[in-house]
Parts: sequence; structure tokens; C-alpha cells
Amino acid sequence: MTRHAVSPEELNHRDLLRRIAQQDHEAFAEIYRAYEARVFRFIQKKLNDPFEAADVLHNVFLDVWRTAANFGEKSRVSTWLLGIAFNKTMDRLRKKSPATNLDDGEGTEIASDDPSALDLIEVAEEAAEVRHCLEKLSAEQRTVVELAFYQELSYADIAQVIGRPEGTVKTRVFHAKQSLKRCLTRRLRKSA
Amino acid sequence: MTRRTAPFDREIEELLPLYVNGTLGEADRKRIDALRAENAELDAEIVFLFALARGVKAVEGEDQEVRSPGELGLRRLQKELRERSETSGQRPVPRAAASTVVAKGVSFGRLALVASVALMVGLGAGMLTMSFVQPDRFVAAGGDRGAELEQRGARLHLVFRSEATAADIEALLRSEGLEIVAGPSALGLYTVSAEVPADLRNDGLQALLNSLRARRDVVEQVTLE
Repeated sequence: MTRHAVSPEELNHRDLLRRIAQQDHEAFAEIYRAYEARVFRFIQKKLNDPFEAADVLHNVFLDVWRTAANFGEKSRVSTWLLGIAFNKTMDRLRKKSPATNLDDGEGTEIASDDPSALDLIEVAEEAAEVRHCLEKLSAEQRTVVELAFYQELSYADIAQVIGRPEGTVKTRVFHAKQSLKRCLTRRLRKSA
Repeated sequence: MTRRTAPFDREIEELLPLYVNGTLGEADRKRIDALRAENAELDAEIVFLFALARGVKAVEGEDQEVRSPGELGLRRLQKELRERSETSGQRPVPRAAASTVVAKGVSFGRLALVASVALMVGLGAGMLTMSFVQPDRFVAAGGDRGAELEQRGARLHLVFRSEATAADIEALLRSEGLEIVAGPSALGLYTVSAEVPADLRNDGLQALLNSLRARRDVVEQVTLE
């Protein structure tokens, strides 16, 4: 279902990980520079605290140094990195708030309406509206939306990042998309 | 060809996010293309998803105003790795990687921005533990080197100008023989250790203060502890 072509950049990054596994510090600096901003944003979105996010980012890259030899090359480097970041971020959230609900959160459906398709397309591009509706999603749904639409990962890669079966990812994206559509529709009607 | 409006099944709907983000395989992409040409409802759904993806990216773009640690984060990592290798008896970490940061001309504008954010935002002391002195003098921000450094010289409190670059700051610290031993505080205050020989303590300190105060391009405020 998904593409498996490996780009030259990806091959280069895999090579960097192999070198990191041999304790190559320059390779480490290179992989850090290639991914730190992306990984940081991913963490920051969940923690909503840039200082904590910087701390988690630090630990993610320490893990990269320690476990580069474990990179199996079955996934993309970005997927592997985001997976480490996801786990560390979830650990941090659990420590902060042990009651953090990490279940599917698929019961957050919003009542349906049918908007005009064109209006809906227009509102879907407005950051403020989308932000409002993203905030209505469960943390789990928001994560998969971000991974699918911003990080542009396949279901298989998202599954690897969040450590859940691909079927679960599909279901989450499906429900998240439905919820976003309904939320945007309501926003549209409210502003009309 | 007449386009019809008809529901499409869930299997197709689940493929659409991948169609939009470009990770769908070739065969499925062609399949969706063919269905889309025939089905107006499916086409509208795809157009909506492309718009939604742009909306999500716009939100993410707004959130990028929060800067990542960048080079400062890398230096903090390099320091920690070096310390670990030294304490574990492994071969010392080559410093080439750190020194090439300057040599390769990595964007110091960005570095400076991060530094200024660290100063300006008002960090909770010890929360963001990064520093930007030269790698062999790294000290975790918010931390404290303690008695060892206190024995060697006086301490000063420094606030750097927000527009000063990390390179400027680093050069100044190096030229004056200063070492950051704590900070930044919530107000962006750094504590630095100055190595001033005991017999020259008073004159030496005054000269140092004068020298730092003269560097208005880098130093906002300097006081003796």
C-alpha cells in the first residue's frame, strides 16, 4: 500500500546511524542537525512547554547515541527517531500527570452536519479554525493527525512511532478526520 | 464521462489521508485517481483533505515560533557524551565536531536567536539546561560547579544583550577567561567565574568589570556577586 523507495538522503542518514553506532561524533552532530528541529516540534506539540521539550529532546538524542546500533533499517530514520521521541514524551506526560488518558479516545465524536463542500474547504485551510478543532481531539487522535498530515507518514510508520497496530492507526485517523470535519462544520455554521 | 455522487466505502476512505500525504503506493494511487474521476463525492472529500492538510500545516507553522535548542542543544549533548566517555574510561570524545560548528559557519543568527530566547523568555532555572560557552568549559545552565571554581576566582553576574550572538558571547568569555557556572536565572542572569590571581584581586577585578562594561554590544549588565 505504501511507498518503499529509499531516497539518497535517507540512505545517507542510515549511514550516519551506522557511524554513530561506531561512536562517530561528527555523524551524531550531522543527524542531530538534520532532525532536531522536527523532533523538537513533535515533542513540543505534546508537552506545550519548550523547556521541557528541550529536555526530552536531549534525552532522545542521548538514546540515539546509545542505541543507534539497534536501528533495523526496516523503517525510515525519521520514523525511528519520532518513535523514540513519542515514547519519551509519553513517559514525561505520565510522570507529570499519572492520570493522563492514553486510550483511544474515539468517543469524542461531534454531532454531524452537512456543510457546503466549498465552504468547508475554505474553513479547513484557516489555521485558527483548524487549531480550535485540533484542540477538541483527544491527544491520541491529534497525534495521528499530526503524523499523517504534517509529518506525512504512512500508517505503517505512524504505527511504529506510537507503538500501536496499523489497524488502530487507521481507525484513529478515520475518527479524527470525521471529528475534524464535524467540528469545522459547526464552526462554519456558527460564523455564518 | 458523467460523474456520479455516491458514497465510497471505508476501505477507500482510509486510503485518502495517504493519498493526500503522498505515501500511498502507486497501484492504490491509480485506483483512487480512477474512482475520483467518476465520483464527485469522493473528489470533494479529497479536496477537503488537501485543504485540511494545509490547515494542519498552517497551525504547525504558527507553532514554529517556538525555537528549538539548535546548536546549543548539540553542544550540551556533546558535553554530556564527552563526560560520560571520560568517566567510563573510554577514549575521549573528539572535539572536532564541536569546533567545526564555528569553522563551518553554521548559522549563528539562529544560534543567537536561541541564545536570546533562552535569555529573554525567562527560563525556569535549571529547567532548560543548556549553555553556550566553549565545549571544554561547558557547565549545565541552572547548575553550579561549586567549591572548586569558587577557590579559583571571583564570581560575577552577567546579563547578555538579546541581540548578542552566541559567537560574540563565546568570544568574550574566552577572551576574558570567564566561565559560566550557573544560569540562566528566570531573569536571564548568568553567574560566571573569573580567574583572577589573589594578589591582583582588587585591581584585576576592576579591570575586568571595566572591560566587560565596555562591551555594550554583548553585555547588558555586569555586577560582582
